[in-house]
Amino acid sequence: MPLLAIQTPPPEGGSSMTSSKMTTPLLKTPSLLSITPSTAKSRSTPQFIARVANSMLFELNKSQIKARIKLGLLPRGLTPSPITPLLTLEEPDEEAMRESPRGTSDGPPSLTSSRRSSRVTLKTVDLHDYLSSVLVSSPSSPSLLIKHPGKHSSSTPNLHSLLAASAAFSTATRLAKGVAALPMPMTKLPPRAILAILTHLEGEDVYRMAMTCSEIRKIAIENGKKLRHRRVRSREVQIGKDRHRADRLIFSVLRVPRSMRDGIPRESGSLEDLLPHLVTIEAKMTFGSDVCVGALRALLRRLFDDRLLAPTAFHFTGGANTKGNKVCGADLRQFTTESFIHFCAHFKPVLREIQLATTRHFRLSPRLLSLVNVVEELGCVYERPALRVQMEHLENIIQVWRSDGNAHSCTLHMRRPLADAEELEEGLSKVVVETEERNGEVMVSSLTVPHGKLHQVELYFVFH
Amino acid sequence: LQMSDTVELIRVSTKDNVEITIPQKIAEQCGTIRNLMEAVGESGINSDFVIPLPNVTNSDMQLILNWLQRFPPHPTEQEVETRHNSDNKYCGRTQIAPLERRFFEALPTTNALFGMLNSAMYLDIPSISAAGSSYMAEKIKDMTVEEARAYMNLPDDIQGWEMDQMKDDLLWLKQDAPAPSTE
Repeated sequence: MPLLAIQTPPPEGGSSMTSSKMTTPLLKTPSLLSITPSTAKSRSTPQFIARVANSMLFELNKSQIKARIKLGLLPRGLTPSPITPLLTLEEPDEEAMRESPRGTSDGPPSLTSSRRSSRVTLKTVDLHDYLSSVLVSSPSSPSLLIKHPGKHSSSTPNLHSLLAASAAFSTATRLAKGVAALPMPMTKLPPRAILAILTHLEGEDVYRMAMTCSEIRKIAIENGKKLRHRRVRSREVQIGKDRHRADRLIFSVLRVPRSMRDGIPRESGSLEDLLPHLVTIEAKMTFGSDVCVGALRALLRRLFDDRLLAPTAFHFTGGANTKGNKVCGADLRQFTTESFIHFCAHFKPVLREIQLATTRHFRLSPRLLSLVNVVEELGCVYERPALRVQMEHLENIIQVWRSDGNAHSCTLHMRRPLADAEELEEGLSKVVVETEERNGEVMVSSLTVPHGKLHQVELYFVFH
Repeated sequence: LQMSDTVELIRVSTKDNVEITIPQKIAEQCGTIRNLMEAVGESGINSDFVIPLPNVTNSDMQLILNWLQRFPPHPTEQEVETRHNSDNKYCGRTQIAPLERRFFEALPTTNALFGMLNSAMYLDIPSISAAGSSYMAEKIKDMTVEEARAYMNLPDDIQGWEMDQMKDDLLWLKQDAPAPSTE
C-alpha cells in the first residue's frame, strides 16, 4: 500500500521529472516527487527506515544545504522585508559547489547516485506546506523506496528536489520513530469495546483472555458479573472452627473425589481468598459444628451474586455428637423458619439439597416443608424438639406444590407424620403409601405424591 | 430530527483533515453525528457546516461508510438458536451474519479492524460495535493465550505476584475431574 501520493507539478525547463503516481485520493497538494513503498521484503523495516534516514542526512550534509528556519532571522546580504520568510533562497556559491568524494554508502544506490554540493538557503517558501503533506496514512507498510526523477544536471539544484529531499528525510525520521508503535494493540480500544468482546466469549475463553495482559485482566475482573465464568464442579467447601482460635473459621476447598495425589488442600481464614477470579465454583458446602451460619449469610449471598460461588447443597452437620441436653452442630439459631427459607431461596435454582443434621437450630415448624419448591432433596434429622407434621400440613404443602406449573420433584427425609397409612390415603388424593412392620406395628415408611399435571414429577417422603 | 429536504448531504472532517460528503440518512445512523446535528439544530446546518470527527481517520471512515451502505439498519428478529444452521460456527449460535463476517474477513489487517471498531465506538454505531465484537470473539475463541496475545498485539506484562497467583490457580484447576459440560 503506498505511503502517500502527491501530485507533481508539470516539469519546467529541461529537467526530466517524471510524474508521480496518484496512489491515494487523500492528498492533492502540489508535490515534488512520488514516494512509493517498495515491495514487501523480509528485511527488518525499522533498520531499513533508519538507513534511508541516514542516507538522506548524509546527502544533505554532503551537498551543504543550509536551511535557515528561524523566525526573524534574515539571511546574509538580504534586505529586510516586511514579511519575514521562513527560509530565504540565494544563489549558490560556485566555490562551494564541489563534488565531494562519495563516502561509504549505507543506503540504496539510487540515493547516493547524485553527488552535488550546493549551498542553498531557501527563500520565501512555506516549508510547512510541503512537510505537512508528508503524512503517514498507512502504518502497515512503512517501507520506502525513494525514487529520484532521474539524472540531475550539474547546474543549480532544483528547488523542488531539495525540498523533496528534506521532506522525505522528515518522513523517514518520523517513520523510524513511529515504527515501534506499529501495529495497534487491542488495548488501544476503549474498555467498553474490550468488554463487549469479552461478553461474547464462554467462561473458558474469558478466563484464557484474562491471562493475556494486565489491561484485559483488569477489565475482566472489574466486570466479572457481566461475563461468563469458567465453571468448576469438582470441588466442595468445608467450613469449620479453627482449632487454635475459637473466634476464627477455617474455610477449605477440597477436590471431589479426593485422592492421595491431591496434595495440601486450600485453606484460609477468608473464603474469598480461596476462590479464583472469573471462575464459578459449584460446590456442596458443609458447615461444621459451632459454625455460626447466620454470620455468613451476607458473604455467601455476595459471592453468589458475584458468580464466584454457587452452592449446590447445604449440609449443616454436627448433630450426631449431641449428648443429653447439650445441643451440638452448625449454629442456625440466628434464623427463623421464614428467614431460613428466604435465605435458601436466594440460591435457587443452583441449590438442590439441604440437610439439617444439627441440634442448634431455630424453632422448626411444618412451614419448613415449603422448601420442596426450592430444592430437590430435603433432610431433617436430630432436630430438637422433633418436627411433627399433621395431616393438614401435608395437605397444604401438596396443594401449593401441585398448583405450581414449574414444580419439580423432591425427596424429603423426615420423621413420620402424625397419621397412619389409611388416613394418609383417604386424606391425600392420588398418593401411594408404603408401610413397614416394626416391632409388630405397621408404620408408614414412605409416601409418593405425583404432581398430576406434570409428567414424572412427584414428591417422595421417606419417613424415619 | 426533521431536516429540510434541501439538506441531504452532510460534510464531515476526519482526523487527517479529509472532508467527506455523506448522505444524511447514512450520517444519522451514527449516534454521535446525529446528536451533534440535533444540538446544532436545523438553522445551523448549511452548506458550510462541517462536522469534525477528531478521533476518526479517513480510512476508518471509508470502511464505516462501506458498512453502513451495505448493511442498512432494519428491525432484526431474534434469531432462533439451532444446531442445524449451516453457518453455525460458535457454540451452536449464529451471532454474526455471514455477510458481515465476510466483510470483516476481507479487511486487510487487524489494525483496520481495530481502527474500524474504535471509530464505530466513537461514532456510536451499535450495528458495527456488536458485529465487530462478535467477530473478534469468534476469532479468539479457540486461541491459546500466546496466540491471542500475538493476534491482538498485546504485551505480556502480567508478572509478579499476579502471575504466580494465576499459575497457582491454573495448577489447582487442572486437578479437576473430567471436564464438566458447559452451559
